[in-house]
Amino acid sequence: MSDLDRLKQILLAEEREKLQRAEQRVAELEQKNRELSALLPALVRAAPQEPMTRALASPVAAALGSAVRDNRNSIVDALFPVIGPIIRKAIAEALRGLMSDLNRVLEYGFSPRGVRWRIEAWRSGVPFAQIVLRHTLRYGIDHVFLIERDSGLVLHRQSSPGLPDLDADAIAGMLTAIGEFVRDSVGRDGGDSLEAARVGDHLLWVLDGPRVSLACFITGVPPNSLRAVLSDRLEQIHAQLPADARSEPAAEWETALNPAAIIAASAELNDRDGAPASKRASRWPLIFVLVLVLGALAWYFVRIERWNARVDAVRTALVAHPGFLLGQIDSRPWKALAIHGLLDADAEPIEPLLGAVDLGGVEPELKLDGYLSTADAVLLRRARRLLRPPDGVGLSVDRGVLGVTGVADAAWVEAGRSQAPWIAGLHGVEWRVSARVEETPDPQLEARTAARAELGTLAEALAADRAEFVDDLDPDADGAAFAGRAVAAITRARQLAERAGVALRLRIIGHTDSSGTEEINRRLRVQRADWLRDRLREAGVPATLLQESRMDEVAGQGASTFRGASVELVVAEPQP
Amino acid sequence: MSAMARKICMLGDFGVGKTSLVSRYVRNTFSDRYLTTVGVKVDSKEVIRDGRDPLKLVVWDIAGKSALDALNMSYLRGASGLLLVADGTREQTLRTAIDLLLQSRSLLSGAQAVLLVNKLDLVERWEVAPSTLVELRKTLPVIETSALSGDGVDQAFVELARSLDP
Repeated sequence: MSDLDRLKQILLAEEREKLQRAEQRVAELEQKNRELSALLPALVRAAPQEPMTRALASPVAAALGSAVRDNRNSIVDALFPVIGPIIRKAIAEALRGLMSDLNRVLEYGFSPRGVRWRIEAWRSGVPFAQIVLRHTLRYGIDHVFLIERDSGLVLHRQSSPGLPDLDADAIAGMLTAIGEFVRDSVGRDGGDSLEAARVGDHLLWVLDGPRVSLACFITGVPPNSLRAVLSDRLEQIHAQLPADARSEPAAEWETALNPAAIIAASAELNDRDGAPASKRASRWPLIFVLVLVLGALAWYFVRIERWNARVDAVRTALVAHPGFLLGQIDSRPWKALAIHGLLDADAEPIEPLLGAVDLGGVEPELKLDGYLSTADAVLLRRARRLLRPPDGVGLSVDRGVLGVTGVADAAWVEAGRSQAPWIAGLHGVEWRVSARVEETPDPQLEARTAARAELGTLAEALAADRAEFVDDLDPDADGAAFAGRAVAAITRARQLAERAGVALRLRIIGHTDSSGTEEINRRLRVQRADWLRDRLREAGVPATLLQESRMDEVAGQGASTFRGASVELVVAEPQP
Repeated sequence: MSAMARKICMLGDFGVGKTSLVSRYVRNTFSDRYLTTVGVKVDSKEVIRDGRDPLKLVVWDIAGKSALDALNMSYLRGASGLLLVADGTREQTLRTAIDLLLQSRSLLSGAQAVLLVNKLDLVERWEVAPSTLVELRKTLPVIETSALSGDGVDQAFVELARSLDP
């Protein structure tokens, strides 16, 4: 060993030894650290729970926060099985509450009671919700505790009759402890306190004063006025609170904290709040509005009724209209009318029917389709359109059977008989039409007619001709010729009468003037007629014809100046 | 009210048997879960005192702690008496009880206190020396109790009730 080494050993021996111990210590710590990772879970499990929990709370919270920031998806995946049911439960609860609210709104909104309350709210100016609460609240006060704030001891207690006994001191103590716990946990600035807690229908109200608190155990839903009454009672108690309240309970607490008295005071306060509003409201606006509403409703219903009556009239007419099948009628009162149906092409149009009903200017909209009707009236119109019957032929339809009667040309009859059974909708045809026979010319008849006509002409000509006498029995020159003309005419008349088939007679007439006596004139008329008869016999007129002739004495009685004789042809009409 | 009520608080370290003592002495109105949630459980017990009016003790069983925080201090407000509980088998709990008493004095200067040394049924395993108890009895009542057998429990509550006014 050199001197330098010896010197180093002398000077640095202590430091070297420290360094060696330090290195050994580091090695041991590293070894422990390596072993600690394996031992840590068992150590954590074995450690006392509460200190370990407190020790781990902060780093675990920090680690969780860091994980949420840096690896959010993993946290979401891990919490998903938990969050899903929670969300579903929350949604279900919310929907249940919504349905409950909706039911309540429907109940209060549309029932007669709800309408009555709305009117009351409108008249009094109080919100509808408050009116509902005022009428629906049914609540009770089970217990009222007067509690010393510091100790939580019960200074006084009042309970409704019939309730089971309870450890008021323990309850008040726990209530105070919980109040302290809540204040310590969530209260800000130390001034807040637990004011209310609700479990189902049970409600707890706590009103804090400087030294005492009032705890009120309520069932149901109390009005706000109850809190006002409780506050008032608490203030009264505080004003008279003795210095040592524990040892000197005040007698007036008995009355002040009586549940029935508190409820009565609350109801009285409610009534007092509502009374002035009731006095202010007048009924006339309500009556006016009601009258207006009723009038509007009446007008509306009358208008609707009138429209319905007219639509019914349209419906009745359409149903009775042959060849129309009504489907339905869509109508908006006094605005639109749509008619759906089926109409036969041979039926009468329905527009005139609709025009006859006053629809207030509404133009009906027709939505029609075709169909084949078997109504008798429609069948008759169809038969007339198709057969075109001539004059003398009548058509009728009875229960689907077409009746055809009358006389018609043979050609129409033939065509009609073949066509009629094919008319759509007919059940049958009763054909009672006779064909008209054509008349052929009759030569004999024509000959007779002609002879008859010529016979008439000849009779007229003979009646106009006569023999005139210049003296009693002396004819003039033409008188002798007259006989010849008369014979020729009579001969021709005999031929014509035979041809015409009629009987022929002669009427021989003697004529006198008015001078002379009647006796003489009568004898002259007879003589002059005899003269003419003799001449006719001489000229060959058959005696049978002359015998059948009559000597007319009267016809020639003269009012005139004519003196002579004449002959007329009397044609007898044939006997049928 | 039939009897005057006084608030007393039970203080002590974890596991010394406070809740067991209360359960032995009073009827349990509330669940023990309050101890782990709210940190306190309240019960009551009426005590008959010789020649005096009965007294109702409203017992606040405060969750075991080695030191009092703000919430525990608020639980102590208005208390007339303290039941300090220690575990005879753990001497440390006795020191904790004394510490809790000293802490509570800042808030409850006039409160009566009684020290309960619990688990008398395990007396053979006690770490607390009898001489220590002798010294302590010079400053406050010390009663050896067993929540398991009930020994000394009623005596402890009665002793505290006797010391309370009126």
